[in-house]
Amino acid sequence: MGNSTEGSSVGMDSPSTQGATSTAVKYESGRGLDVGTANLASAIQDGEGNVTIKIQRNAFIDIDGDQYTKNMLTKLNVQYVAINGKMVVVGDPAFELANILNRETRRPMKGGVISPSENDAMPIEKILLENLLSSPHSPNEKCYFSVPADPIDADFNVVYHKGVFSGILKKMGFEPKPLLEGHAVVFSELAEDDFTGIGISCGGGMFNICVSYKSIPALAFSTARGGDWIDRNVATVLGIKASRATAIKERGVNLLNPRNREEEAVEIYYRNLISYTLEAIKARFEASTGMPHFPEPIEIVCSGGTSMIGGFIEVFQDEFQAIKFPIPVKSIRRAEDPLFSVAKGCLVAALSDV
Amino acid sequence: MPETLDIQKVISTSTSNVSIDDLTRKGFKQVKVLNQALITKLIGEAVDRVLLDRSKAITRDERDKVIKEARTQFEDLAKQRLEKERSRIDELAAANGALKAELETLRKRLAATVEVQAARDQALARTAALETELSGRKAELDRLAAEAHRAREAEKALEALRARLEAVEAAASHREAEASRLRSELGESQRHAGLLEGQLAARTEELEKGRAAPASEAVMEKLLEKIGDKLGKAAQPADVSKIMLSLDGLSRRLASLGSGGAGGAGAGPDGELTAEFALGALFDTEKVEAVESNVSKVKVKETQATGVKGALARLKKLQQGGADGE
Repeated sequence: MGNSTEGSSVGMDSPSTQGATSTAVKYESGRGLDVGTANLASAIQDGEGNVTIKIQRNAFIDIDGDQYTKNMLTKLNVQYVAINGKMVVVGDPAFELANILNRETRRPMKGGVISPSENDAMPIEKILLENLLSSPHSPNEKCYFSVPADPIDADFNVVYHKGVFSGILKKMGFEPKPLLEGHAVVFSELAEDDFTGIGISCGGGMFNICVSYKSIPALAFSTARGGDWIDRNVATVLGIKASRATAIKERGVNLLNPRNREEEAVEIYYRNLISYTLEAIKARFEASTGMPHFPEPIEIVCSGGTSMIGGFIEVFQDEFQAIKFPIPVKSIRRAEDPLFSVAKGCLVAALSDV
Repeated sequence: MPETLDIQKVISTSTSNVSIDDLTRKGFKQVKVLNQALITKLIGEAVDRVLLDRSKAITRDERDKVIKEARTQFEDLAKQRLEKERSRIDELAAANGALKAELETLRKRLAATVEVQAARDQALARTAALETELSGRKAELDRLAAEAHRAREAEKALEALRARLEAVEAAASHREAEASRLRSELGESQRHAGLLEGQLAARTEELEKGRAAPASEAVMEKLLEKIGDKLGKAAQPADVSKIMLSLDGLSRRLASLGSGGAGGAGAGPDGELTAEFALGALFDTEKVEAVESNVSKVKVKETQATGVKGALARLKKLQQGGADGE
């Protein structure tokens, strides 16, 4: 990354205000992109320092449709793509439709990386990304996008995933720059601590962990369990679809006070997931030889959609007390904008790299 | 302490059992039956009565003695009973402890079972994912096999064309040699024709001069016929042009195979070019049949987040070599 103190400003219309010359917004050159299993989010900063986030659910569902349906969907502000004769609804409406029709959504990504079992994944990802990012504001504008770290409990790497998204962004005219998801959380949330601490991105497909010292990642890895793992297990024990389990989870459960059997199931699997993650972090720390020595107790920041449930931090703290953590920790907290933290971290990296 | 009289034991030990058959054999037809409980009751009543009679007659000392003995006996009995109850309580406590331990073991086993179940579910999910992946890989393998087959077929076709080209080239070479030979023959014939023309001119001159016999005209006609044949054969090089045209056509076809078709590109020796072609096709949604979307017409969810100016400034400062506060 470069050392310039000022980001280069590019005079461009906002994608949403193109054509409205009187309200043209100047944007800084550089984008942040969170490529998540559950959501795609982009971040951009205008000349005034305001950060705009665009977010799309990373899902789609097949529907039967004709011209009338297409027109209606457009009028209802529902995004669709007709590809190879098949019609799919994409984004949040796909998720809502799945719940109404008691079906599962199709997911372009699975377990944190591009899904090998979805043939239509790549063209749909490209369309969603084009809609989120639009065109680059300047030739080869830098776009930092999040990639997961190699998992410690699953046998795959992220090389192909990284290559696919680099290819899509390059074709769109950007200069793609991959950034570890956990590292993005550090950039976004640990500025006050000189970018020293532990950033955890609690995503749909994985948990990404990054131990950073003065903005340099000392240790980064991921675990292959996330919000989807909870959904799958809750769905299994309750005999419902995973999309329905997601809806239950997102409707306002408090892990400290589950109100019914469904919420109890969510609480049990959340607690298990947090405990599993902490044990994994501890084991990885103990096994690592190149861990830095932190002179002061550090902070742990949790971000991501999976961390947004009520009581998450309390349960995290509770489970944290139960293990002997090898690094002194001063506090555990949730990110300011948990859902946008990774995109914002990528934006910080992009803006600092001019 | 005086011994306690066990009436039931006394009756049991001082009586004998006689069967009904024995009694019948001895001539007894009827027997009076006294219930053991009744005997006990009668004896008890008799003793009570005697004691009552005696109590009227006994002295105060004797009565105190009896009371003392009774109290002692009662206390002993109570003590024994207490010991027995205590022992029973200990036994129950021990049993309770064993049950608690068993319950704890069962709880641990249940927890382990839940963990195993979760691990099994995870393994099943992983298996399912692997199966799906395997299925995808198999499909990819099939597709690659089909592509390889097509590439092999294209290679075979190319080989056949190469063979044909070589044959055509050989034929062309042969025709060229033939044409060269014919050209040489034509030159020879032309030279010979020139000679003959010279001879003819000389003869004609001689004829005109000497008015030669009519038989010489027939010889001349034969000669001219022969020259005509030679000149006709000399027209053969036109076939070489045809061969060259055919070769041009073949070259064009080979060139088009090399640059246009997927099989040709895939079978090409340049791995990078092939990879680039494949990668381009992978992301080229325009090439996917009939992609239609309203995504650009629908406004995506947009929101303002807290700024990153502070973080950016700190990061840049750190990158320049100064930590916070320096």
